[in-house]
Amino acid sequence: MSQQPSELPQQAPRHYAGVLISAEPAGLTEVRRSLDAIPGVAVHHLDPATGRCVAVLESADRGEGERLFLALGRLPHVHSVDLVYHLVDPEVANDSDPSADSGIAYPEPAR
Amino acid sequence: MTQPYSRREFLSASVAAATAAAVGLPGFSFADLSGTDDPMSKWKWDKGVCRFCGVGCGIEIATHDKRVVAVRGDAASPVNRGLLCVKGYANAEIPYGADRLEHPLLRMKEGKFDKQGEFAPVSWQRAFDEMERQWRRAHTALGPTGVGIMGSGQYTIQEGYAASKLVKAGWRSNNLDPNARQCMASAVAAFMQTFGIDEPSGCYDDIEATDTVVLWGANMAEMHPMLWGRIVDQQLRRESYQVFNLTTFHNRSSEAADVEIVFKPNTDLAIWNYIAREVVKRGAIDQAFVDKHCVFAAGPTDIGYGMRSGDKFAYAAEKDTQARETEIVLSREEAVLAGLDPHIENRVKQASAADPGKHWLIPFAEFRKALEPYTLDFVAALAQGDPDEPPEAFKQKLVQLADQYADPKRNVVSYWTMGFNQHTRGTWVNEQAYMVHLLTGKQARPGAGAFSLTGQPSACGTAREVGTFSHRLPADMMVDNPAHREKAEHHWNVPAKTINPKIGSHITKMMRDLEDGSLRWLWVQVTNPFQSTANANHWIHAAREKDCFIVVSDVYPTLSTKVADLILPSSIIFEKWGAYGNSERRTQMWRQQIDAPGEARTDLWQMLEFSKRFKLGDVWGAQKIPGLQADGFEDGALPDVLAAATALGFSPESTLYDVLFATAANRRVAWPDPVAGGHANATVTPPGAAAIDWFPEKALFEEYAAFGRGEGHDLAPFDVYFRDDVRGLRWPVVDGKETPWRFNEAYDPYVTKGSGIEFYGKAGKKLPYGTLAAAGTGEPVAIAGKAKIFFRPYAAPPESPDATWDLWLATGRVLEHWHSGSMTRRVPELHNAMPEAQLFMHPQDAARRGLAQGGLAAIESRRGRITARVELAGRNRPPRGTVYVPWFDESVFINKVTLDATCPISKEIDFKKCAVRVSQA
Amino acid sequence: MQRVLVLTVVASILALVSPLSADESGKGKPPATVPGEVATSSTPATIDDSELSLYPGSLFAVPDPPLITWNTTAPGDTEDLPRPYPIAPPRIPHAIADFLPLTLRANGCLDCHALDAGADAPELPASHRTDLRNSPAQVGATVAGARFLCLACHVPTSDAAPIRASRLPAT
Repeated sequence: MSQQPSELPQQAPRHYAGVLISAEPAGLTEVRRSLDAIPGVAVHHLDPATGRCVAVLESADRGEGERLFLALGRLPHVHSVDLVYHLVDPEVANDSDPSADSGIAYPEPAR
Repeated sequence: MTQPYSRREFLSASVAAATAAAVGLPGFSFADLSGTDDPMSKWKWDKGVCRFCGVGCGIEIATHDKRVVAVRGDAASPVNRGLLCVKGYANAEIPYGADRLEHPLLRMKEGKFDKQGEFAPVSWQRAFDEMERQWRRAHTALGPTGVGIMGSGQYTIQEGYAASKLVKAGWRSNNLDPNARQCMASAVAAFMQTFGIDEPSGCYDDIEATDTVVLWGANMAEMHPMLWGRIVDQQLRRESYQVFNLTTFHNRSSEAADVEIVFKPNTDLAIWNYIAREVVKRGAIDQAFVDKHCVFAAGPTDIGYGMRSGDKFAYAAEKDTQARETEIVLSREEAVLAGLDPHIENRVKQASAADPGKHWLIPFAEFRKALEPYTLDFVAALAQGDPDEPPEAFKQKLVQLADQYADPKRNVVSYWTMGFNQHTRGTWVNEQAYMVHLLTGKQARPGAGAFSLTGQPSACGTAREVGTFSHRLPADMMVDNPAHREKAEHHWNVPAKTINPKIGSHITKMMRDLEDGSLRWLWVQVTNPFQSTANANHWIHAAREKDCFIVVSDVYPTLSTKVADLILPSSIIFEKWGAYGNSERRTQMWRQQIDAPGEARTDLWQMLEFSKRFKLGDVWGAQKIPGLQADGFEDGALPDVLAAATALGFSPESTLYDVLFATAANRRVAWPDPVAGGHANATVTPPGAAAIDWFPEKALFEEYAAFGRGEGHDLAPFDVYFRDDVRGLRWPVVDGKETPWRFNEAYDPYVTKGSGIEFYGKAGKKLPYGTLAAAGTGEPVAIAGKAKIFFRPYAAPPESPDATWDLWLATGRVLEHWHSGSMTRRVPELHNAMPEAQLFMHPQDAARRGLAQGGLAAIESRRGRITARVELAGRNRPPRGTVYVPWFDESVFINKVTLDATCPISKEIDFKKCAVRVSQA
Repeated sequence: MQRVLVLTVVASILALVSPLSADESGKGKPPATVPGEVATSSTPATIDDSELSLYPGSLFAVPDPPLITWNTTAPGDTEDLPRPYPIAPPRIPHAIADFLPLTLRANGCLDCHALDAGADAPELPASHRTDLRNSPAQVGATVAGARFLCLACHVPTSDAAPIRASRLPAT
C-alpha cells in the first residue's frame, strides 16, 4: 500500500504545513522572492509592517517537509520560522513513515 | 485516485487561513487569498460580539454558504485582543444543535389547547391566537398585573426596549423583569443609592493601571476568563502586582492569586467594616476627597430577607426559615455588634421590611462609632471560613488586605460578581466596597475603583440601561417617580397617566404570583427561569398545576419549555440584528449573519407581531391595579386615557403595533439600509410572513437612545457602531468620544469643569440627617455632586447550618457552560469537557458520610432533594462544612434545594448560602 | 543539537471545511437538515414534555446522574481529536489530573508544551507566543501572559457521549 513519493514526483502533496515566518521588515521583499523560488512553498500572506509572512509548505512526505522547513530558517533576513498548523490529507496514500499520521518531525529551525 | 488540482489549492489555502488566524495577523483577509476556486476565499467575515458572559469579547464571524463556519477573537477589540475562551469559540456551533425549535408547539388534546395535552406543532397564527385568547382571559380576571414577561440580560438592547414599551406603555403592567434580577440587581441598587446613577465608573483598562486586584466573590478564572487573562498577564509581568481572592471556597482564581482568603458566608460584611475601621484608625482617609465629594449615610437594619411574609404556601419544613421574615433571634455576633447581651435571646421584629431601601445622612462621628466593634480579633473569629486554617494565618491575611486599601501609594480595584450580588445583604455589601474606595479616594480614577462585573452579555446594555426591571423606565428612570413617568410618556408620545406608577413583580415574585394565582399569563423570553430560580419545586408545580398560561420563546427546548403551555421558536444571536452592552459600558452591535431554521423568528418580530393583537380600547381604558396608591391616581386604579389618546391622533381602534412601534418616525427609518451591506434582516422579511419596509432594530435603538442623550447616557448613532474602526464604544459617547472613566473631569464630559471629580448622579440627592438608629426629623439637605459612604452592619443569613441541616450549600457557574447550558450543552466539546454538575465537597465531610469520589450523594434541604456525584479533588475545594454544586445541569436540579431569600432592597436571590444535608443516595 | 518537534494536529481541518470537501469527494455529506432549508416533512407529531430538552424525563423526577470517567490516556499515547473548525482550540487528548493546579509558579502544561521543553509534545505555536495587546508584531519564546492559563480554552475530555446530536457536519 505504501508508496515512495520520491519515486512519484507527480504525486499530490500529503502534508500541508502552515508556517509563520518572521523576518526583518526591510528584507521582506527579498524573502518573498526567495520563497517563491522554492518548489513546494506557497506564500499566502505578507504583513510588511511587521515583517511577518504566512506560507504553506506542501510536501509528499515528512522528510521533504523537514528539508523545506530547515531551508526557510536559513534564508537571509529571516529571524524565525514557526510551524502553526499541519494538515495531513487522508485522501492521499500514506508515505513510508508509520508515524506520519500523527504529525511531522522537523529539525530545529534556525533562530 | 484523482487529485484535483483545486483540492490541493484549497487545502493549502485552508492551512494558510488557519495559520494567519491563529497568529492574529492584523489586516489579514481571506479575500487576499489567491485562487478563485477556493471556497475559503469566499468566507465572509464580519465583526460581532460573543453571545455569552458580561465581558463582551469582540469576535469575528465567518460565514459561508448560509452557515457560520468559524469564529475567532477580534484582534482589534480592546476587550480581548484576539483571544477567546472555549465558550467564545463555541459561538460558531450554538446554532447547530439537532433539536433546534423550528415550529410553535402548543399543548393540545383533540385539536384544542389543553393544559394537560401533548405538544403539537401549530402555525404562528394559531400560536398567537391562543396566546391572545389566554392573555385576555387573565387580563379580564386580574387586570394588567395578571399578565407579565420574564425577560433577560441576554435580550438585545432593541428586544429589551420593545418589551419595556409593550409592557409598560402598552399593557400598563409593570410585570416585566429580567433574569438579570438574579445577576446584578444588588449592584444596581448600590450604584443608585451611592452615586445616584447606575453603572461602573471604571473600565477594564483598570486592570493594567492598578497595583492590586481584590476579588470579592468573583471566580473570574471561570466566569470572566478573558479578563482574568489580562490580570494574569499583569501578575506575570509585575512583581509588585497583587491579587487577593476572597471566597467561601477554594477555586481556580485562587490558583493565580497571591493571597486567598476563605471566609464564612455573609462575613464579607464584617471584613469590609474591619478594613474601614483600619483606614480610619491608621489615618488613611483621603480627607480632601471625602470632604469635597462624599457624605456619610445609614439605613434601617431590620429589613427582612426578601422572603414571603406569610407561610401559606410554605412546605412544613420551610416554616422555621420563613418565620425569620417577620422576626429573628439575633446571632451571638449580631447581638455583640448591636451592644446587646449575647447570652440572652434577643428577638428583633423585621419592621422595615416594607421600606428596606430608605436611608439618611449621618455625621462622620456616627460612622466612626459604628465601625468600632469591628476589630481584627472580633472579625477574624467571626469570618474565618476554613476551620483547618491556623487563626493567626487568617488574621495576618486580613491585615495584608487592609494594608492594600490603606496604602495611599497603591491603586486598588475591587471586583465582584455573584458572591456579592446574590446575597441577602447584597446591596449593603456592594455599598461597603464603595465605602472603602471612597474613604481612601480610590474611586473614579484609572486603576482605582470598585467595579461590579456583570454576568450576562447585556445585563448592563439591556436590563439596566434600557430598564427592563419591574421598577425601571429607560435611562435609569423609575416607574414610581412622577417626573420620570411624565418624561417617558412624552418620549413615547402616549397620554399622561398611561404608565402604571406601582412597581411590578420582580422575577422571583412573578413565580410566587403564579403560585398564589395573582399572575395567570406569563411570557418567558431569552431565559430559562424554571431552572434558574431558587426553591424551584414550588414554581414548577405552580406552572403545571395552577390556572395559568405560560409561553416560552427559546432557541432550544429547555427545562422551562417542559412547563410551558406554548413554545415559540426563536432566532439565535447570529440569525438576527442586535446590540449588547458589556460590564464596562461598551455598546457593541452585530449584523444578521445567517437565516434561522424552520419557522423560528426573531424575538423582536414576535413582540411586534403580538402587539398587533391589541387595540387601545383593550388596554387604555380604566384598569384596576390592586394596591396602587400614588399621587394623582385613584386608589387601586389606572384612569381611562382613551380620550387623551384621541387628542394625540390615535383612535381606540389603533393597535399597539401602530402606537408603540410602527410610529411615523420609526417608519421613516427605512429598510433596506446601506449599513446592512447586503446582510438580511429576518425581523423585516421573515420567511413565510409579511415583510415590512422599515428597520425596527435601528429605529428602536435610536428611539431608545433619545432617552439618554444629554442625560449622561449618550449613545452614538446606530451606524457608527458598524464602522470598521469601531469595536464598541463606552458611553457616554459625547462628540464622538467615549468615556473610559466616569465622574472624572479628565475623561467624563459630564463633570463640571474645575471640579476634578463629581458624582453627578441625580437620584436620592436630598436627604435628612439622623443617627445610626433612625432618620432625623430635620429638613432634607441637598448633596448634589456627592457620593454616599454607607455604614452597613454585619448580618447573619436567614438560614445557617444547624444539627439537622449541617452544611452550607453554594451554587454557581462553570467555565464550559453558559448558565443553564441550553446552548453550550449541545456543543459536543463543551458537554464532553463538563458533562454534569458534581457535588464538590471536602474529603473529611465525605468520609464522615460514607461517601467516596464519584459516589452518589443525596443533597437535601427543607425545600427539596436531588442526587449528584461526589467530587473531592476538582476545581472547587470547599472547606469543611461547605459544599458547592453548579446549576447548569437540569438533571442535577440544584435549584430544587436552594432558598429563595433575596436582598430585600435589590430583590436578588442569594444562591450562595442555604443549609443542606448530604448523605449516601 | 537536533530538537524534534512533533505536531499532533488537525487531521480534522478537512472536516472543518467539509461542505466543500464533501462536495468534491462525494463523501460525508452533511445532514439534509440545514438552517434555512428545513424540510416540512421533519415536522414532528405530538411530543410529551418529558421528551423535550436535555433531560429525557419528567422534571419532577430526581434522576441519578451517571458516573463520568475522565480521559485517562497518558500524554504521548494520544490520538488527534476532531475540532469543529480549524481555528477552534484543540482539546486536551490526555489525562490532566497530574498537571493541576495551574499556578503562576507551576504550569504543568508548559512543562511539556513550552518551546524547548524537550518533550515529545506539541509545542506552543507562534500565536501563543505573541502578545497581541502590547506587541502584536513580535513572536516571543515564551507563552503570552494572557494565554498563560491554558484551561480557559483547552478543555479536558471524558467518556461522556453527546446528549443531543449536533447537526454540524464536522462532528
